[in-house]
Amino acid sequence: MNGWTGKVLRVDLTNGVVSKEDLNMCWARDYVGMRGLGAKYLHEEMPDPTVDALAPGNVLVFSTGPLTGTGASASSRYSVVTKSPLTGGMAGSNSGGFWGPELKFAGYDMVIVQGKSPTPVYLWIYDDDVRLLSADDLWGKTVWETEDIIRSRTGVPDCVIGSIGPAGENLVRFACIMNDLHRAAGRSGVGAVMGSKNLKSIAVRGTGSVQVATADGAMNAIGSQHGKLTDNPGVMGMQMYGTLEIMGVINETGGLPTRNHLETQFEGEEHINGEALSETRLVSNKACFSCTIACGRVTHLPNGAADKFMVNTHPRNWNIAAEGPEYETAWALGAQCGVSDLDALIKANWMCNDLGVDTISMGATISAAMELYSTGAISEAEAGMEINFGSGEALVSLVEKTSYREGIGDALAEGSKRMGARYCRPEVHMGSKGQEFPAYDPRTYNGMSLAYATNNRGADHLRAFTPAAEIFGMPYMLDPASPDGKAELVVSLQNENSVHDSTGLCLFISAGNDLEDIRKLLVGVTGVDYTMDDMNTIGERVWNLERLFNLKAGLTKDDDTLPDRILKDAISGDGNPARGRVGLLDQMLPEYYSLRGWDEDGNPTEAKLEALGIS
Amino acid sequence: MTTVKYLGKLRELTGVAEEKISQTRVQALLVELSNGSRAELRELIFVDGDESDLNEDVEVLVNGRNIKFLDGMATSLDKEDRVTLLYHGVRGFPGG
Repeated sequence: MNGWTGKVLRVDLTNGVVSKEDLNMCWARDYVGMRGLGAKYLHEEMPDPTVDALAPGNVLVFSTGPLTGTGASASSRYSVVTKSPLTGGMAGSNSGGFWGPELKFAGYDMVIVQGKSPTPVYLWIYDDDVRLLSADDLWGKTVWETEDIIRSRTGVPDCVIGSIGPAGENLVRFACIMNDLHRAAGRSGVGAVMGSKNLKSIAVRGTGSVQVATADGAMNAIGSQHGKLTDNPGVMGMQMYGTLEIMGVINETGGLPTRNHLETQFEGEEHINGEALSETRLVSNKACFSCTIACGRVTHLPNGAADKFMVNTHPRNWNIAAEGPEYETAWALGAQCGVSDLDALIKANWMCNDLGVDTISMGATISAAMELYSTGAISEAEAGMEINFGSGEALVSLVEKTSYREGIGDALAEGSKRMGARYCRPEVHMGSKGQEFPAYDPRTYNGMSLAYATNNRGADHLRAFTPAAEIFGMPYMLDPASPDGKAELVVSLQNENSVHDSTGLCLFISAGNDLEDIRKLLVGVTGVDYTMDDMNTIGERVWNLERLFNLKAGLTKDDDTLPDRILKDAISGDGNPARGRVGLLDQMLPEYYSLRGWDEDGNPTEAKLEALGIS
Repeated sequence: MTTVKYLGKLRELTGVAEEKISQTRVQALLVELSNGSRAELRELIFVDGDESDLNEDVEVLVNGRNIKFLDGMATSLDKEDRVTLLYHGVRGFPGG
């Protein structure tokens, strides 16, 4: 077996049974791994996708790719695929760090988790030794505490651990799964699903390796890939400033959502951007497994900052060097909430990691709560404090309250859509399919209007990122204000990223690598003679399968939409380059459906499914 | 005077976040801002020292709009305009 290990762990939590089985290699060839193969398994193992996402009938799939754990640059990734409690559709969140490679080294491509344990447990994997162990005393612990305890208890200091924090235990609908302390399978509430199953952690230690088809073939492809990432301006920028490098240009082009998208340029951007972080709070950059980019940010808080924002959650650690913020986090906890205090962002980011919540949805939901507060829909008495836009104290406090569902935090824990409905103010939800937007206003870059509305996991920037074309002309120039050409671009990017996300590689290698480079890596490692046509077909197949699952789960064309604030309220602001723009979704969506080969209601046709081999 | 904002590596090379420069065309502005002691910046902006050939990795925005959408290096400037310069580490992938 090359690339894939060929083995799957199946965990029946209801009966406390763990079994090993062969990987379905037909599916592996057709869906590759990670997101794609996880989607295939979920689709097959969950014949009734209408089941409540937090019920035992949901299935939780941890899936690596054939390139995970190889010498390819940024081959750190694994995906978590399940039904999302936030969107009701398919969730597919991936994470870096070292957990995915370690699972491969232990001899497994996937872990499929079914049912619900009667008591809290964690899964221990040490090569062939796989057991469910009690997590009674871990329940209630934070992510960082949990990792410390498991390492100490097992006496295996180099095991790699993926866990939920209190947010996952408390079924916060945007709880994430954290590994290596700071890396997150962040979006769509996969941590809440894990919590609903009473599964606290999966700790892994593997002593094997990933076999490749031929040493020459694999090493040639890997060498070529590495070469294209060396002395690359994109990579160098990521090393210097992390993903936060992008904040300046997004603000300059009028696309930085501010105060819950009421504005799209943030006056405090210079205080929270990549340059500010590098100059004042950066300790070093940090790499995931086998990564030559190393975009991670290790940051510190200065003396005094520890006492600046008091919260109940273990006040230790607050001066130490931990990780973040990345761009999306700095935006969500910063501009979106009107907060320009970098120390507040760093502290809130660390708390999100330790408590186990998605920083994007957390920040966006706090900003929605701040808007509700500004209009009087939430009172100071109900909030327990003033929660004005711009308040670092409110930001930090609301992260904690949400994770523990304390007071007003119980409303936030449902996400901004359900919170808005609770207060009869649905307009404060800025997202699609119930998931909050990331850091690019879709009026400024109209391609993102279509991308957000059609993405299978709800609003998201990693499935199709059109500002590259709309700001920089990559892969070609498209006017950001116009709907022209956006449908074709979005379909192309969604397909390409779907196959990319199925390999085991981080999306950020696209700084220097294209799909042909990835194809060569796949061929060199697996020995399967994938062609470029195959690659494109796989991407389209994955996208259509996710769509099919969503339709079976009850989503419809009506879910491919955006809030009125995007569709009707033009961007304002003197000097804003995007002034006057609105989301032109209705001018793009029919063409998108047509290019996808779907009917006018957004349903994949029988002919399309048959052509893609989807039954 | 036109406001010039530097991002990322270009800010590091110039040592300033913003400055004011009076020029009426983008090309002339780039020449002026990279003159004198800013040899490294000049080397980065122009290909082989050719002042008409902009490095493809350097992006120039005028009032938030890439000059590729405008008249390129011939884009005219007004004193109220805002120019943004970056050596793009933003190669078509999103923020994390």
